[in-house]
Amino acid sequence: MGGISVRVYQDRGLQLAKAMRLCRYNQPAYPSAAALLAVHSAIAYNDAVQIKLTGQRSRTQDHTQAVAAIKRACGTAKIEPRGIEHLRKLLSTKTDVSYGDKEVDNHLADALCVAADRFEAWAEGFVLNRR
Amino acid sequence: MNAVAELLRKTLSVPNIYLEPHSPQLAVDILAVDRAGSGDLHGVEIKIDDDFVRNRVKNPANLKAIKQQRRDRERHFRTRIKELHRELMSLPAHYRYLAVPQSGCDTILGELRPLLHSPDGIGKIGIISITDHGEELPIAEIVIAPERFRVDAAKLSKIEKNLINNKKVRPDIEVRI
Repeated sequence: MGGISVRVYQDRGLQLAKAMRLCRYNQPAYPSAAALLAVHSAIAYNDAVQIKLTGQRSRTQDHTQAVAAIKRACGTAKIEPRGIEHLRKLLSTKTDVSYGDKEVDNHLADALCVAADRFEAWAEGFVLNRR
Repeated sequence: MNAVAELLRKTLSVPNIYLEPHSPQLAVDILAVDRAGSGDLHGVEIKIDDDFVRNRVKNPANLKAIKQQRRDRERHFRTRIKELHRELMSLPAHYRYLAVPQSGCDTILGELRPLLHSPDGIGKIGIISITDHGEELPIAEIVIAPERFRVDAAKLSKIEKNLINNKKVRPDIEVRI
């Protein structure tokens, strides 16, 4: 099951990240959409990483547990967990950017897009295509 | 070069970008490897107007000489396009681009457009136009989207060994983790 599922979630993460970049770099930009896509790209990449390392996807709705689970998986596989901090940051904003009353401004969207870029770079370079 | 690198940074997925990479197998101005260095190779050749113009010769003396000079210039231009086309087609990169000034884009495309596809039908050269904005940064845009080429596995593995996976060589631009 591992091979196929990793690809499904990795491709989903990649597509969401590409859509995020389109929203981010378009003029005028679409900050709310970019922020939401940043978060969901990271969630999909997190699933791909989990499946790659443990053979199964984390099904918890609790973001703290999701971060703890990926840290554990990295520890077991002896992978440097540098990218996980970006995932934590993205997950902590998920509820606000998805359903919150506050407007998502360009500053917040930029910060989340940078975090998503860094988590993607870590997932792709250090885990999914580990050399 | 910065404008083209910026375009690649924004359009590719977390690319590692090398400016004028030192690789005997891959003589390009910019190499971008997407997916944090684990994905496809995108090679860009940047050509400015001067690359297509023959060195200036003395002023023509009469109408006949003017016409001859124009014919020579056109012949030189076509020769340069063919040379460039050969270089691009032989690049061991999955995506190959030619970046040219916006002012000369139509003329170059007039000559190059029928040659953009690979003879085997797999792959198409992409065209990037660079627009000068005076004091501000130039802007690069993709005017013809590239299609993925087949790449010789032996050449690719040499590039991976000497450049992409070489821990002593760092990309000039990369996403910091």
